[in-house]
Amino acid sequence: MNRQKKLAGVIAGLCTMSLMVGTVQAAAVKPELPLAEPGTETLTVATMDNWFATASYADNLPIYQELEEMTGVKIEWEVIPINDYDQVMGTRLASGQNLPDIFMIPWEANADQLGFDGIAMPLNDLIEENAYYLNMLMDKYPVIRSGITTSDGNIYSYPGFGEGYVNKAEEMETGELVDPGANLCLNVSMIRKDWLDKLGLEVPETLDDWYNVLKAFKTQDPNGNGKADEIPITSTFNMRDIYRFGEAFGLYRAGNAECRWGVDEEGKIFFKDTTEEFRQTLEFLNKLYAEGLLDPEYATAGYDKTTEKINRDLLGAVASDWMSNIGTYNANLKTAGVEDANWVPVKPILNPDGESKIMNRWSVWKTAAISKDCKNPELAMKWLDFQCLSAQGVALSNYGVEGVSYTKGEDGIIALTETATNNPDGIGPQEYLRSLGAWGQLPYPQAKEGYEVLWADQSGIVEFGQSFAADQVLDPFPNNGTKANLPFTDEENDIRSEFETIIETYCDEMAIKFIEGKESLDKFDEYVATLESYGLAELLKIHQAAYERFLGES
Amino acid sequence: MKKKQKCACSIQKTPLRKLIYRDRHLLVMCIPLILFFLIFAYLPMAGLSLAFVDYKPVLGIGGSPFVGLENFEKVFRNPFFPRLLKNTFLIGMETLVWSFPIPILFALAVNEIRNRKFQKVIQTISYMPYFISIVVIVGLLSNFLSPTVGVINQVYSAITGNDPISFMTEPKYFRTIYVVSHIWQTFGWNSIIYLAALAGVDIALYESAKVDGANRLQQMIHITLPCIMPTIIIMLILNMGNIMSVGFEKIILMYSPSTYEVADVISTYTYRRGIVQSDYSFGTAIGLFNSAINMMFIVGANWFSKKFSDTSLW
Repeated sequence: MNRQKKLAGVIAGLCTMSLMVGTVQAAAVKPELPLAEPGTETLTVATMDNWFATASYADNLPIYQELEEMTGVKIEWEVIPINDYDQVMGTRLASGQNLPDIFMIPWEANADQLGFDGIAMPLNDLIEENAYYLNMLMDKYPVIRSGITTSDGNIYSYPGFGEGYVNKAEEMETGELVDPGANLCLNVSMIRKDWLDKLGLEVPETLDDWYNVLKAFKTQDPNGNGKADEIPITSTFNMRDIYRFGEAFGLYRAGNAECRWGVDEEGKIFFKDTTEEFRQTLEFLNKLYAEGLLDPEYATAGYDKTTEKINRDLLGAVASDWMSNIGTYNANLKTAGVEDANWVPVKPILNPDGESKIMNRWSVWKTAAISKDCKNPELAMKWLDFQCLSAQGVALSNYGVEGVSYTKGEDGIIALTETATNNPDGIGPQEYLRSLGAWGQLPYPQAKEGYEVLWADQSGIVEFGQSFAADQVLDPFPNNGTKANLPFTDEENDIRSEFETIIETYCDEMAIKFIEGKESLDKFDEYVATLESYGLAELLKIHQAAYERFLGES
Repeated sequence: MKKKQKCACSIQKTPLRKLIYRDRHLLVMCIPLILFFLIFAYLPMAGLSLAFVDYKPVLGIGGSPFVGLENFEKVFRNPFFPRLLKNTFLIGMETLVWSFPIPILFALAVNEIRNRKFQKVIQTISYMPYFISIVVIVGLLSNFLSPTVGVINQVYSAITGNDPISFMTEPKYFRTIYVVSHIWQTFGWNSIIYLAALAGVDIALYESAKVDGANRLQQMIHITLPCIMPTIIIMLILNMGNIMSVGFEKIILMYSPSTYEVADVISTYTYRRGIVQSDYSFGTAIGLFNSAINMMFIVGANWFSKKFSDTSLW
């Protein structure tokens, strides 16, 4: 654990201690299985469907059959396709009637507001009394509690976790938690190493290196078809991916989320899109665009488009993607006939101090809520907690079903089975695990061991993740996509909903104009002034207040 | 014939009760339609009251605090509002201007085809795009028009030697792409109503015109067009009422921040803010305002038509 996290943890811990003074509650004990007499209890769970679309949760996938056997609780699924979830569930929650017992919070929804509006139940006491495993984890990492506590002091959601909290499944049973340290699955730029080798270039380190490499990709025909059809670099999922070049100026992004908000060393909140560093980033991007080094379609990027360009042997680099996808990139290119294709992750660009730093992803998410209509909230909490953080739950969600997707050696070493690593249907290990229900939508922690098991045969990825020293890893600003994930109050949320859409729309639009040279960067000050007139100062004030609340200082 | 005429002129004198009894079968047949409008068009209007409250789901529409016109103030205060209004109007207007006459011309052309079988084949082919999902259409568009992998740009670059054009991210092409693909998708379907009207033109008129020596073009101009003119005008008035209801489905699939300046319309903004950010009251307020403008257009068009021709909706 690095310094900043520790500090945040201590402060948050103090804050929660002061909150708890005066309330005496029965602390949760390790739950006994089954949680309910089999056949007597049913919980309805509404969720977006599986990432691996051909295996729907509605079919009661194997890991949930296992869970049912262990807990005795039958789950009735209400499954909605991923892309429709925000809209369908959002409308259902707004109508506020006949809600399922447990629902996944729509990604774009304001999770706190669901609680303030009375749709989601306050969970403080329920967690205290029933969530044995979550309490255990929060005692070790108090930042989890500050991450899910809202401005009124209540918790309205059960968290899901990225990396950084659970090391091995079995530790949740023994209670001897080991800090897993730096993330393994990083979001970084990636580049065609085979193209670099062909042109006699090194993996870029500085911004100038990047420029030279991209220029060479464009002009020296690395794909060897005699045409200058190479696309040196593109954004991967959305246009903001290319803001990764901000690293060169000390402006970092967390994971794949270009959160527009950040906090400086003095604890002051700032808005990234109006900083001088951002202006410099735009200047560089403008140069890339003008010289044809940036994909002209960067502004309408989407993962399927990016994949198509990769598979057609046109793309030299992606600005930002999860390292877990490298295997797919290489495999697809090999299928397409490019035998020596070799995508590699690139370390973050050296910042003005000459250091390559990486920002972890913010990894406590307000994932699941128990609705106001839930008849048996204690059971719902126990079940959520068990499926998420018990040793059995962590194993199911990270490695699938024992004997089917993984085996456990006598020494406790976990390994994926042949069916998972070399699947007869030709799907990758992670897809296979997802087809069983693992790596899913319900809250679960991404255990460090889970990644090690998954990537056992892909040397390089784990090593790359481990190659960052502790002081090279930056803690992220609590975020939810582009937005800050802080304990805002009801009134603050009102103001945010009025100004945020306006400001985000204007930022994206102007950034494109600056990059494409339709508007001169001399007008950057004008752009900042316009943002001010759209209510940016007000938003900054709100964010500062909420951040202080987050730290427990107000 | 005689009996019917008698009825027609005695409407005034017949008591309502008798009229109802006489037309009972027709009235029964109307019930499903009336119910449809009651349930799906009038009942939901109660939801419009969302525009005047600060909606909280648990409190319900009735229980949420009344805020008067505050949501409308937010709409007008929004710096993007003038642009949304302008884009909505321009896209709606351009769609109407270009896509309204084409089905008429197409119907006239199809009507001139003498071979019945060939006529049916042409008609069927022209309907087909109407049944393709909008998602697929936009997928096709961005594939064909892509500057890197799109076939249109490859042909364009090969012929002219110029750099490919990013059609989908260039604001100046947005409306054209929107309107042309809209026409391609709907002209066949929209021509059905005119073909039906054409089928109702009295053959005797054509025969007498032929006797007078009119050629086919003259027949079209002097007989066919005047005969379907009421249909055309009614369709025009109805379409005027839809100018501001530019659907969000297609635009949301087509636009990106690089084309917001021309593509962001009231419905897409409502979607981003009302549905995605769950600001339902704001969404309803801006939607209600939009409907009011639509109403103005339809009333205006009707007034205009009434004044300068005999045809009108009411």
